[in-house]
Amino acid sequence: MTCCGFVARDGDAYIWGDGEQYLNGRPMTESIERVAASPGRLAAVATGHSSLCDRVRRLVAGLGLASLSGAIARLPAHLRQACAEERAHCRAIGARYEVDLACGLIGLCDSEMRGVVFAEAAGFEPREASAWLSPDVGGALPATAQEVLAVAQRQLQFVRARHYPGATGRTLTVARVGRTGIASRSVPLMIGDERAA
Amino acid sequence: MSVGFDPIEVEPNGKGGYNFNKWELLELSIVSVPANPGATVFARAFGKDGRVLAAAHADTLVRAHRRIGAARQDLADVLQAAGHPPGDDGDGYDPEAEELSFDAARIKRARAAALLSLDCVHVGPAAKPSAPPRELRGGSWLTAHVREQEAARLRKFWSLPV
Repeated sequence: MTCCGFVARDGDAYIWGDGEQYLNGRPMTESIERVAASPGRLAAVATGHSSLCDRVRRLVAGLGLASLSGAIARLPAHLRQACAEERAHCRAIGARYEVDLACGLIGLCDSEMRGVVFAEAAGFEPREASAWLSPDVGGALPATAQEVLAVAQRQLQFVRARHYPGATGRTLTVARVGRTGIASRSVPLMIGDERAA
Repeated sequence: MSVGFDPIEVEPNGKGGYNFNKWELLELSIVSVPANPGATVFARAFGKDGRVLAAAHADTLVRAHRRIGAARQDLADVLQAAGHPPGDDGDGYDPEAEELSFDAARIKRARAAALLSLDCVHVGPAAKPSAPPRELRGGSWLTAHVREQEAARLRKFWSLPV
């Protein structure tokens, strides 16, 4: 389970995601980059099968200079197709397919910062949201990058308590999206005593 | 010798420099090329007043440092054979644990600095949301809005009448 989310504010937005991958309920050694950005200053993060998350990254990067409206119009069909292919692949190899892909997208729409969530469980119908947390741990929404880290650590503690006790989150990528560009930083999600807490 | 530290209390010394009265040590290591060409190495361990070492004697210091490391390892082996767990040298001091916590503190500082720099980077402010607030418009508004925009874009692309 990925610790990810976004918060769209007046002026800019933060979007974040950890880099942990799981195999048979255990964290893998390889990490994955989950925050994707397009040349059109859209940023997205996805949670679900790692192959589908990777597909989302490529889809978002391939949006080119498309606006948020254009992305919302195009992404659902692409996401449905990607999931259908993954489902067929799982069927072919006899693996179980879980409906759990969710994708958060932020960008400018009519000069306003907006966020949209596409969930596989809802047929990838775009749902507008000013904030999205996966898993949803509640609490105050972050207003700075340091607060984003605190929220991501709360999410990871939730994942460790409920799903994977050995989860470390690996690298947290935080991106800040504005009118003229996207900046991002990758930092360790938990260090030393933070894991024991 | 390379020393990295965070100053906590600093005052001018009247000679054009500063006295660092309180500081926190971040990094201390022996380097082959000093930043200050006039730097000298004192062997404090061999005499009360110290002795200036020539550059050739720096190797002696490095060898001594390695021998200390080897002696620590021998001691750890003896203690382990006597039933003490690894890292326990009898007085409760665990150098590996201290090194790990030291690294953790340093990484936390670097992480905080990276996140602070993200807040400071200029990404261009977006316009304030227009009225009514987006929450009142609901999720369906954006979908309808997008469909209208895409339809308009396609009409324009195919030069169809509006």
